[in-house]
Amino acid sequence: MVLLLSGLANCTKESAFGGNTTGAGGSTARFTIAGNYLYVVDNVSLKSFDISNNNTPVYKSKTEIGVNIETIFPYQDKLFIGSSSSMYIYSLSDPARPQLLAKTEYTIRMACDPVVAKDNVAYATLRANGPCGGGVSALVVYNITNISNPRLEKTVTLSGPYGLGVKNNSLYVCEGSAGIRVFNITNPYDPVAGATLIAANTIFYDVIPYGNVLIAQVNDGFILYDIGTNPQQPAFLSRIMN
Amino acid sequence: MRNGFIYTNNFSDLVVIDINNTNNIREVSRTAEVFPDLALQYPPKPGSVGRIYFECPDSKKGIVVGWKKQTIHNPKCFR
Repeated sequence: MVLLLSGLANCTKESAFGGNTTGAGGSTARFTIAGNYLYVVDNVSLKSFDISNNNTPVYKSKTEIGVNIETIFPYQDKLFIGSSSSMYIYSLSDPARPQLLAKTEYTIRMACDPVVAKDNVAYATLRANGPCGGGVSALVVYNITNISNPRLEKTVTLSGPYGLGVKNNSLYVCEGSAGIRVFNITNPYDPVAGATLIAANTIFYDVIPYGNVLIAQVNDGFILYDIGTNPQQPAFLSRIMN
Repeated sequence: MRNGFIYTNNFSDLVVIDINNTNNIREVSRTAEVFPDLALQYPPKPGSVGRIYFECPDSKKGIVVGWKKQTIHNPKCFR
């Protein structure tokens, strides 16, 4: 399942997703909206659609990327695309035809790897267990000041991360049945672990920080948390069953 | 979602749904084969088992909407 939400309700929070993004999506999304374009990844390629006219998406281009493409995330005028072994960064200076800026191979091969980005930092999760195989589960932090040469700053070992979301100084990482781990990223290159949110019989897959609400995709629906009061201590609001 | 329109998928189709009027939610566009991975062209692989065999989908008969486990003879497709 793929979830995209409108960014219209609270324009001031757009920075969490990049300035020109008009939709909000999770880090494990297979498609995303940036400006007037919809971008879709499949296993091997990236497609662009002009959605200036809401009623009629117009197919623009298809770019071959690589193998085992998993996730797509927009940031400023760029797309971050995660595959099982690499993080790709594409420029949207020509939004109809994204251009490859950088490809970073993970040192750990074959792991699932959603990516989010904020300011000059990119966060990705690598998951060892599950269909992606691999040996290590971790949160990895890249310095993307030089966008064509991302530099690994830190590796935080985790139990088995899925999707992640970032808002201001808080980073939320889903860890399946182990809950959502909240990190303080006041120093963006050095996430400090804080609260862990858990719920009985619940597997957390992905999160979307959306204004003052943290939307968590779980095994049987969604859980909403308030992150307006204290972003480091999300407070349960409601649970929506599928 | 953007400007009151939901962008989502239905199997491999990209679907746009207008929800500006919540009393009249309607599909306004459908684009085929945008999500080829979701076309269910082959059955899911159960766990770490080796090769699985299945009936080759015939696109002339329409799209695949699901898979059932059954005994078949001389299957040509496998993964």
